[in-house]
Amino acid sequence: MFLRRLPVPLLLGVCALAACKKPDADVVSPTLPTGPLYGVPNIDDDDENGEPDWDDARAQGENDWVTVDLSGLGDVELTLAGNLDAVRVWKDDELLLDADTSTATAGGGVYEVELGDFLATATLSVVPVDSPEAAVELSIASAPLILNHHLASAELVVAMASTGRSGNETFIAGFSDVLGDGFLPFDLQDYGWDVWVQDELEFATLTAPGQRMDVVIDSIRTNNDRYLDNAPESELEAPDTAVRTWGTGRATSQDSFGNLEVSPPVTVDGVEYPFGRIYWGEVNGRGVTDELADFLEAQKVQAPFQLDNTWLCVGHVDEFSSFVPDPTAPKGFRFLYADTNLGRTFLEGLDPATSLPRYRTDHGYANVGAIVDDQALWASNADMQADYLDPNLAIFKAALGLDDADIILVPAVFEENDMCGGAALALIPATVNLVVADMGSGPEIFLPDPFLRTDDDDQGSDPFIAEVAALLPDSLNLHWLDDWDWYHVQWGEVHCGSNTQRPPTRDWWTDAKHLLEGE
Amino acid sequence: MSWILVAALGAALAGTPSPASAGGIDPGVDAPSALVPAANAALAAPTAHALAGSPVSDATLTALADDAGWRLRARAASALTWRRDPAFAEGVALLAPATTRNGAVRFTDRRLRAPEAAPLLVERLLSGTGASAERAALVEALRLSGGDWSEAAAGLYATETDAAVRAQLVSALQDAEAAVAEPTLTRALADADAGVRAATVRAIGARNDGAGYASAVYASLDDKDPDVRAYAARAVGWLGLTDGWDGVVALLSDPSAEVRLKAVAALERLDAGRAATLPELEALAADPDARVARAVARLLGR
Repeated sequence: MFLRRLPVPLLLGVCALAACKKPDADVVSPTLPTGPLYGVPNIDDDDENGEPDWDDARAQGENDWVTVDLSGLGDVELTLAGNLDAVRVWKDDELLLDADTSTATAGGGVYEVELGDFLATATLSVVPVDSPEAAVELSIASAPLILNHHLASAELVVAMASTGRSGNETFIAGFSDVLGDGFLPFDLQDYGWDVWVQDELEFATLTAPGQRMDVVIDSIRTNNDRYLDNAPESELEAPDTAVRTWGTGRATSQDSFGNLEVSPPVTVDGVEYPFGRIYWGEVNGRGVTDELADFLEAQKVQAPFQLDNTWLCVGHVDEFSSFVPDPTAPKGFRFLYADTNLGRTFLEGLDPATSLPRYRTDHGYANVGAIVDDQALWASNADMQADYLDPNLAIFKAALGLDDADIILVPAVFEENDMCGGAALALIPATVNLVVADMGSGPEIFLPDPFLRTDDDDQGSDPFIAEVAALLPDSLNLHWLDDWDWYHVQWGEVHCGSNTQRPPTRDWWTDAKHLLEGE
Repeated sequence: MSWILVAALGAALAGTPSPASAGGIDPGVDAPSALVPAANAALAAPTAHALAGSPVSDATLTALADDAGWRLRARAASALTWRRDPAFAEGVALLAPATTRNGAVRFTDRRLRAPEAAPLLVERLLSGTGASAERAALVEALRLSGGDWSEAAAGLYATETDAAVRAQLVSALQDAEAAVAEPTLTRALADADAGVRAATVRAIGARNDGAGYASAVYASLDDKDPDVRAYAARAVGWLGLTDGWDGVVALLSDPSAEVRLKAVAALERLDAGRAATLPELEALAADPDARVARAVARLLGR
């Protein structure tokens, strides 16, 4: 038998469903689409029956397959090979090929290739019975799961909202006033007063030509229907939006997704990572749960790397690092990184008599001088810088191919916390724990108000805000949100208390081919 | 009659532990005789709320709230608050902690950041109710109240049976005046629980007068618990305790990586030039723990 790979001049149409049109009956020789078949694993629940569509015999409303138009060919002999547990072929709503039946002869028409797993590969050989010399072998591949980076535009920002006395209206309004309909509050009361929506879920996407499926990775940090455990299903799950959890058992803080981030696109030692690289922090060698770590590693395109978060109380990478867009930067972005030396220098330059009401009540420092004079605080920060922040910065630089021009060091001060066995928390609300949301009007940056001032209500008098604003690119629209009572004193900041859905930015089947093929 | 004897008698009659029997932390003073019955009644009352409902006058409670004994101060001040601002008192009495980002609990309500909250928090701690984590969080809230807390923290340590709470109490003493902190910190260095000992030596290392605990810190370098040894090594470095040099050098071969890391850092702080000549560093440069190897490389590269 004579087999050859597409493209071939054959009366054969291949397309993803959303982009597919049936050929007109009087078209004799349609131009064939080129390339292999790319699809998304059918893990969503289009018929909303509570089961992933792959597990259904046939889901109503199904649209997550790749169509192969063999109209006008007459009978064809089809043979499916490869990951047969994750690929099957349908025709006229009947299952034709799968792991049990890998070969069949059927008439011409539209076939549907359904994929059941990430990065599944297979081949479908098509042999026209009347013209076997025209046989083709179509390669099939399903998408990797991709986490979209901070510099991608934002489609949706979510946070937990509490109204009424002592609610977090100010924080919520900080988002909604800027983002309008692009911001969606979830009712905090419905979720056990758990504000840490960043930690509960991670937005990701699966794509193929003409197709997109959103995937919400549901952390193992909560279970038994408590806190935000059900939020991904209740608020976000829908046709074309799947919710999936990797891992089971007892979670650690490192299973929270403030500890799971992705860089912008980078090139490292000549290897291009068009979707950036995933990173997470580890505490005593434990990062995200092994099942998730192994899965993300297996996706190949975002090659994860790890930081050492042993020094941190909460232990998430978003406590000390982030990225912001900057069109003037060599790589189009700046890496923001916490630096305690800068934090000390900054504070030493202030009037020590400056009273700090917020720091007095919640950190025990009545004024700037009290912080500056705390020798133990600075000894501790020096140790953190030397033992963890500097080495972690070296890891970032190596893993992302960064040089000093790509990096903005941001003043930061951490303090050891007795409630956490002496591990570190942000003393000044962590500036880098920010949200980047560009919904078409430019990058809106939401940062924690540092309250390093006497007058709570006057951000214009805050020297820390002025200092950081001067460090950041001019193109950013900065919004300093009051996250103190609901987030900062509960050991998180703006990023921790929000989450952002972003669209895919590139085509993995072309732009990440070198990573998938291990070139 | 000794004040403490009166208190002990009153407490015994009420079937509750007296300050004296609970460790003798409450300093005894001779109270004005006119106040002795009221003091007895105050300490014998089951709660401050109950005392507030008793016939004791505001003036008497005010006088008792200025007493030298922390328990009586807390009891009387709390009772006054229950009378004057019952909503606030009830709020402090019933407030539940918030769950932090890593799942620990913490009292973050702004109402607690007021000196008036301190005696009420002491009362909550004295009641002995609440889970361990919640009670530890109460100690932190007490410390941040800005009120009358340090003697209470020292006193509560003596009777506290929960190690996590004791650890929090000695941590709080990091900020306490020397006369209050010293007896308890010294005692806590011999606590049966390693976590408490670690918290204690950590607190000492962060105190401005920590050098006064030098001999105790040196002794902690040999503690059987690695966390204690690590914090002791760190304290030697932070406090500049040069006589601890040899003891810290010995920790360079400690089985715990954390201890080795702190030992390297301590020696670097004490005398980086001298430390760089130590033969032990050759092996540590290839330490299996990356943090230790980096610290040595940094030291040698100075």
